[in-house]
Amino acid sequence: MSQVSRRQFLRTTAAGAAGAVALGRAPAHAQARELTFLSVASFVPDTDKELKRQFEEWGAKNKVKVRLDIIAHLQLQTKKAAEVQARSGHDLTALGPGLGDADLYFDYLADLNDVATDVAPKNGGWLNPDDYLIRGKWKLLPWWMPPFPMAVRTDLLEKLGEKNPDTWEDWLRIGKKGKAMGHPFGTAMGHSADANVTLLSILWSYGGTYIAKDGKTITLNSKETRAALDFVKRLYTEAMDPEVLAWDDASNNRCLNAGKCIGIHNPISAYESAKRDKVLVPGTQREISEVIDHIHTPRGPVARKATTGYWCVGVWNFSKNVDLAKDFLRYHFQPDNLGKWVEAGRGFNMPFLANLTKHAVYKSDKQYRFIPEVAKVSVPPSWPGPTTAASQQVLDLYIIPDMFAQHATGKMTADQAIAWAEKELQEIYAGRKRKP
Amino acid sequence: MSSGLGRIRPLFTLYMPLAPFVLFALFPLYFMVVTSFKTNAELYDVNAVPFWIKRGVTFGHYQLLSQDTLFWSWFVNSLLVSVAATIISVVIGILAAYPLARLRFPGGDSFGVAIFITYLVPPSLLFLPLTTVVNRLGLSDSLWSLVVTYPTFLVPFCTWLLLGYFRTVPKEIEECAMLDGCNRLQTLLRILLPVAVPGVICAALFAFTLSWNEFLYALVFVSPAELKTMTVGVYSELIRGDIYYWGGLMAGACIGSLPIVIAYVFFLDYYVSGLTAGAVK
Amino acid sequence: MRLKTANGDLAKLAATGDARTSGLSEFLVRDTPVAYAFIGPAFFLLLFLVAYPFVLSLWFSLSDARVGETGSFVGLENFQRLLRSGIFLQTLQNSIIFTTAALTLKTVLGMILALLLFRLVHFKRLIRGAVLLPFIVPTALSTLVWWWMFEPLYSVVNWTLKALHIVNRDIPWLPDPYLAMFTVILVNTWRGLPFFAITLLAGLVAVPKEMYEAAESDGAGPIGRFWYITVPLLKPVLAVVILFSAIFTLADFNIVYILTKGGPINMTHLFATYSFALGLQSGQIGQGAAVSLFLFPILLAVVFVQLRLARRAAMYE
Repeated sequence: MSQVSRRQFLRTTAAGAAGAVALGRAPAHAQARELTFLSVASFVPDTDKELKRQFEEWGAKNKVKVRLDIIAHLQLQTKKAAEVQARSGHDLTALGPGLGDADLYFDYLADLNDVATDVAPKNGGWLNPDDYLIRGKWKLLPWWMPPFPMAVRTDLLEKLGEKNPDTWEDWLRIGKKGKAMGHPFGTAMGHSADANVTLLSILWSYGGTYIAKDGKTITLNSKETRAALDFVKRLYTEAMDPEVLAWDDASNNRCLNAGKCIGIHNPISAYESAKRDKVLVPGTQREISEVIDHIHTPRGPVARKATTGYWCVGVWNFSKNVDLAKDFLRYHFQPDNLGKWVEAGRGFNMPFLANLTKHAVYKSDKQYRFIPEVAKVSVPPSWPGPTTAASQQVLDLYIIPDMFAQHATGKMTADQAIAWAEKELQEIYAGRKRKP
Repeated sequence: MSSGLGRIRPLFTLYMPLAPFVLFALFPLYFMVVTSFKTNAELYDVNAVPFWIKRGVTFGHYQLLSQDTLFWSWFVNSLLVSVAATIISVVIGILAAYPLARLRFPGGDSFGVAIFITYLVPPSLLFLPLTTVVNRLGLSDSLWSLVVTYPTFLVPFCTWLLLGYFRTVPKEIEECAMLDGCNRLQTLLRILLPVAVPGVICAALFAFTLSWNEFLYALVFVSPAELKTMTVGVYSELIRGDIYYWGGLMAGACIGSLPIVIAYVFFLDYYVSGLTAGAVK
Repeated sequence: MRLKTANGDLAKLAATGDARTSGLSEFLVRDTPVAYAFIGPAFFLLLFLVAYPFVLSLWFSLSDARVGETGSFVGLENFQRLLRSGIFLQTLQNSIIFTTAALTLKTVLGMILALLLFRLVHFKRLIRGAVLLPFIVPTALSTLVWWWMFEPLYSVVNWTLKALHIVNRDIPWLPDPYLAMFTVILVNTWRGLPFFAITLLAGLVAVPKEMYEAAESDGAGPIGRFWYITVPLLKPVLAVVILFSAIFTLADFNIVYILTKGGPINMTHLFATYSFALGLQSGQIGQGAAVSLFLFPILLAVVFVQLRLARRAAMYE
């Protein structure tokens, strides 16, 4: 291992020295064809291994040298910005979470219309193609999403005499009873991706929205939003612990797996790691994964709607290998390969293609039975507006979670919280107007 | 220090007041070490006593690092980059500090201030334009990109520290040497440097520490897995979305701290005396 | 001391060396080509790798640049927009509180620690080394330890406080906006304290013993010696250390990014983290640069004045 890297270092050293001498000139390529791919560390490590296998298999078939680089998902933002700034870097890149990158980096992404059209029919078609078209173009392929079911502790529900909770109000009631016996409900309300997902889901379920379909009009100020705010305030004060304000994406997993939380709104990653680590219910010899179940994302008085991280893949247009990159995408999106990759992820990574949502993996464990259902009610976070750089910024600045938190903690009244968020939203959308 | 104190008194006036400081400094590090040897079952048990290990020590986290990741490659990369960047920075720093300390020339004062001002530019911003430069130089995805960019934040500090140190050295001996026919470079190398060793070591330690801890440039300029530096590598393999491999992360932190700790153990006295002259003047 | 440094003639005299500068050293001192040759490497390094990106950053803050685009000039619009944003004003306030509190803590505790370390006779190396450790462990990783120590569910701090019956319920270190600020200040202090302590210790070592002895024979007590000898002599070191630390504290990124991501409700956002969210995540480079450079003019002035004063004071001495 270290020998390889030493050699690599020497090789790059030589290249670097040559480059330094020839200031400004692109370094000579030792191998004519090399395809590079930047991806994020998958929540289920086997997914990365399967992707690597396919990438290398494709490389061997086409006599192309391939390199898959994996980074932590939190670092993707920095890396993307740097590559665009330098107009250099990887050929293929993971994008997201969210479709916003397609708008943000519109001028730097190669058109993938042809690939999107090619891969759709074999896989039963894209789920909601209109969502993925940004300014009328396929600038990226939506790759996978982790749907957000509700993860519940069945043993605790039994103890409380609760059956089949289905609405957000049910969860308020259960959380209240659970909290009384030290098992609160848990959903992040701080600066984390999960907080965006769950709180948007609640906002919509109560009929509220923050943006109109035109992507311009701010629609936050409504009695539906007020209802959602009041519900979250009750959920926070009556059914949860204040710690949720500081939660990151990993906290709810820990809360469930530590045997504390009675329910969390989260992808199945918590269950997967509990199963792998054989975590026990505190004070018993029972594995916690045996008493976890995953059910449908709750519905509210108006709708059952949720969102999730939309992870995508794209090709930089400054890449010298756009065609090769597209070719690999076609290869990876073949039903067979995509199927193996979904299987490796044990259902965590669901593609946005109709046939794949019916993959056998979702029947392999009764835990997964609701995942395709959740996927059906999942919409992009910008809903009902289009995905734009502005809608992405709303997520990055955590405007929605902060609005809910300011009201829930009693710092602001519902009207004040709405007014605060409205002002920030207007600034964001106004600052994002495209110059003619 | 003053004479005539009982033997017991330092215990109350010195060691007892020191204890909370030492505890404050060391506890998080102790906790880091303990966590790295704990089994997951105990680590994630809310009822377990967090201070020590009750259910058996495990080397599993270290094994995970060594076997399932390229940890040792990253470690060596960090070492190579830090050593190279340190040497370059100290040499450039010595060269720049010497005329600033000894010679009078137009622009000298302004340069001294300019060097300091570079610290006012937040790296979180500087790195984007720097990306373009690194790419133009053809250094992307090579450890050289780090060897070249790290001195940008090391040289100002080294220069400033050495400048202070050189000023404390009496210049009479140098004048004698020059009368004997030595030129500037010879004087610097043969007369000044040997007496400025503590200052140089202090600057080198500082530079090494900052390079070893660097994260942002290492993340941005180098992508291939086998070329990553230690902190970036550990982050990319052990933080997987909403799952953190706590034991592994702590194990990485422990091994990652070792080289610097060793360096400081050897050179601590130089460090203090180097700072003594360098920082005060 | 300030009076004397204000005297330009004296300072200049000091800068050229001793009053008894000989003719020879006067000649040596004027050696412009050699000086430029020696400074060359540092100059070009900083020119290409710092000055150029820096000028570009300045441009960003005055333009509507997005990632990858140079953008066009918009004057001070970015700064005006920031002043209209509630989140930015909160960030400004946070940064000032964070920096002031952390600097005060580090200065006071650092001084106490330095005085204690100075008097050490036994285990000198061991204890000095131990308190230096937080400064040298890689920040990106040591901050993770702190996070694990304050993590709501597994917090060893809460566990201890509960075990000692100091509190009977969990303290919301990170969820409570004010405690969260306290926590990030605490971690910053933990990391920065050794730098203060060791540098001040170095300053103490340099104070000539005779001065203390003289003061003692004049009947000055320990407190008198501290105020009339230690503090004035350490002033130049203190000034530089505080200046250095102020710059780094103000630009702190890691601690907040790992512990709170600026939450809860933006109550711990600092310039660096907010600039990151705005400039990098959302691609609004112009806005992000404006956040980063908001205090630049003030800092520049402070550095300029401070540095001159410190250097002159040191030279005169």
